[in-house]
Amino acid sequence: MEYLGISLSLFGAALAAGLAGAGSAIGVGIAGENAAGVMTEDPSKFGLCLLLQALPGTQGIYGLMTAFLVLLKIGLLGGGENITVTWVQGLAIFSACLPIAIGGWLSAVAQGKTSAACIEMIAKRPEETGKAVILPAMVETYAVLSLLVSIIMLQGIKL
Amino acid sequence: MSVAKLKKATLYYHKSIREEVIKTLQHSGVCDIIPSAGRNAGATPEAMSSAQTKITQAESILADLRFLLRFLEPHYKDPTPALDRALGEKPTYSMQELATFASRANVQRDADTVRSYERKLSSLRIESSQVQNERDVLKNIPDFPYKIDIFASTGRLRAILCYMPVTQTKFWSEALSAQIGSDCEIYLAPVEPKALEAWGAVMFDSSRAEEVMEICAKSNISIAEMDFKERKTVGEEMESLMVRAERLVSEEDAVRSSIEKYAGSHIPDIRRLTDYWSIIKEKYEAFMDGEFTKSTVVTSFWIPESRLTMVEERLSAAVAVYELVIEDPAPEDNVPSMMTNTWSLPFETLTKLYSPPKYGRIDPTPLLAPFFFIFFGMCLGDAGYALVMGGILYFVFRKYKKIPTDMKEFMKLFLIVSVSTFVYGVMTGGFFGDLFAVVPFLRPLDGIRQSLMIMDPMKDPILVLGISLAFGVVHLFFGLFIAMYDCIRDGNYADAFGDKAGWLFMLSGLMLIGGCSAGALPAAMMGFSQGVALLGALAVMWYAGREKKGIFSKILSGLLALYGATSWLGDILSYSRLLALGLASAAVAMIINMLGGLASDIPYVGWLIAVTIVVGGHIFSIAVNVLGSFVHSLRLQYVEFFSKFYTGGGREYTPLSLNAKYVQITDK
Repeated sequence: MEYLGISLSLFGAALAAGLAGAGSAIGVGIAGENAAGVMTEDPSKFGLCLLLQALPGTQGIYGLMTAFLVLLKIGLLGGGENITVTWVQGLAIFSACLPIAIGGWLSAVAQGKTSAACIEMIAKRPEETGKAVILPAMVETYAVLSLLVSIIMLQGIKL
Repeated sequence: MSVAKLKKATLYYHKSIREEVIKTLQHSGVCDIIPSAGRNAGATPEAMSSAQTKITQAESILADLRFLLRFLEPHYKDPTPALDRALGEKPTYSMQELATFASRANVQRDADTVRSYERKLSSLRIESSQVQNERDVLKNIPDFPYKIDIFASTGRLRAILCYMPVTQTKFWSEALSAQIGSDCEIYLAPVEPKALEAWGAVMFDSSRAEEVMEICAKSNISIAEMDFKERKTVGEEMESLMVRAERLVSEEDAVRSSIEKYAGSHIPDIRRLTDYWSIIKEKYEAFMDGEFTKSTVVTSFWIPESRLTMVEERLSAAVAVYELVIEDPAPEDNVPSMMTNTWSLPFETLTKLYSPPKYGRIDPTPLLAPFFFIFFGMCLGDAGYALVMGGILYFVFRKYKKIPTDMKEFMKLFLIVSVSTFVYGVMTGGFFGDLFAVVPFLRPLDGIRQSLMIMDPMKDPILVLGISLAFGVVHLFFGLFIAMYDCIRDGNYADAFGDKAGWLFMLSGLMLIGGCSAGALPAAMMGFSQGVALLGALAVMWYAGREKKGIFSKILSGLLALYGATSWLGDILSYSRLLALGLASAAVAMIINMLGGLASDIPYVGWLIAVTIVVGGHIFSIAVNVLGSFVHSLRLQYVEFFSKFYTGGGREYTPLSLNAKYVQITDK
């Protein structure tokens, strides 16, 4: 039972980085497929397409960041003192990881679809790039909120 | 804060001076021509049809030029890199030079030459694919004992070359020898061990043709197609095909290299001609937008008040007789809007990306500029990143002096926000994350970094969250104030005081109540706070119900309006992204530094790997975080701020000008 707390924390960190990363991968992938299609017609749109394709990638970074904060908290990084984590604390850290794991994962997929649609939009109307960049950012709001809750929860857990 | 005043100018002139008049308008570059939709129906005066001829001529030349560019550009190695060209490194010409050049050029002939190259290439490709086909067929029957023109024979001796699934060969050959016997000879090509297909041939007496074909049909064979007439043995044919293939490759190479040479010497000419003819086409199209009588032309256009004198001076210098009538825009006119930003000019792109303001309405650019400045700084929030970003832009500005205006302003925007990024980075101790603390020889600097640090978002995110939300409240209230000002200016007092001021009071009242109950404000303020909130709520309810009939439906719609408070809560919470993005960029930078630190422990090559990770990682982090910071700071303007007072929907002022893509026109 000694390591249950650490294990639970790591499980949470793994979900945060893994699920949010997987979501971003799917989202960026969906957008990339459309970008490739648009660029077959007009390779000069590479810059705009890349910009829109990159948008669903942030959730992966949020997940990575949360995992990193967890590792710092339980003392696995930075070579600090040995911190003991009880299983209750471990479960709390695990719970704190869930918002960004779930919110990041699903919002990245949805954002990828929006980005893909916006890539098609700039294929026909390159002058509307400003609007095309904002629509996917609307989806990302919820990933930001998830991240925020994860961070606040992590900060609140006293070890 | 508002858009420039425009005047509607109407110019009357004789058709004989149309060239000079339109040329003057185009060169002045400030006249947004108003098309006279449909008013010329029926009449086609001579002036009009001759302009139409010019447009048709320009269009056909442009079509040729576009074909030339499309075909030749892939074969062209531009001596000026694409980046340099995008940053304004273009050849300069005057319109006069271009016109002289255009009169000497023969685009038709160039297009014909290139079309003949195109035809030659495609016929070479067709021939080489045919050669490849024949080689593919013949390589299957390397030991066929006769000349292959036997397959083209029409006499008594007939022959078929065919292929079939390997499993069918036995059935096919046995059926043939059993049924036709000595009236046929069967050839079976050698079969590779794992091949699925087998090749064979049957030579037979033409009187047995029907039976042979029947057996073939039953055995599921396919007949090979190629031109067998007057061909020799397989060996000889393979050799001559190889020679032909080699010749085709070298011929194609020769054509390609002559295309490359042609592209090298002609592309610059084709590019400037494209610019010239586009300008000419635009000129005559602008002319065609006018109205015509038998000998008079009327052209009307929008022009900024401040530029009127300049255009009048130019007109009177160019032509003797004309009549210019200046009017104010009528309410029903669709007037284009021209923003007049000075210090906030770099931020104008942000407004344009959304939608330019309507004529006579507020231009939000200077209003959003300070907030965008702060928000971007908070999102990126790293002094090191700011230095990299600012440094690159500074270098670009030093190196390239002719950057196109729009792009230059957009780049200046990033130069400006790199200042706020630097300041916020210093305040929060972000310098490539915590690079100073990690790299041994930079450690002395870490003391300075820490002493300049006012707050640490990593350790105290709640403080930064509070600051973010406070900025949100200020931003939203500012938006409401502008909306109120706008309503008062229009004389729309119900909107101003019922809706805008009502919400202002109610929201501030609610926040005061919150402050009192949390103990941040003296408890004595409670009554006052409640009063403010109540006053606001009543105003909002009155506004929502003012057009409803009956007290019941008035109250109901008033209560429903109060429910709108939740959307305000959502708007304010949306500013928490300032904290989240700032934390994200700081954390990513820290992770990169940590990975670099771990890599440096590897013996011998560790330092190299560490440097690669740190440099590459931070470049990646800058790219991703600049994009994120830009998009999210912009979103706060568009979604939260603009929704309070700005709808856009204007038409951008686009004057007739000397618009060139590949060259720079020196005419003033």
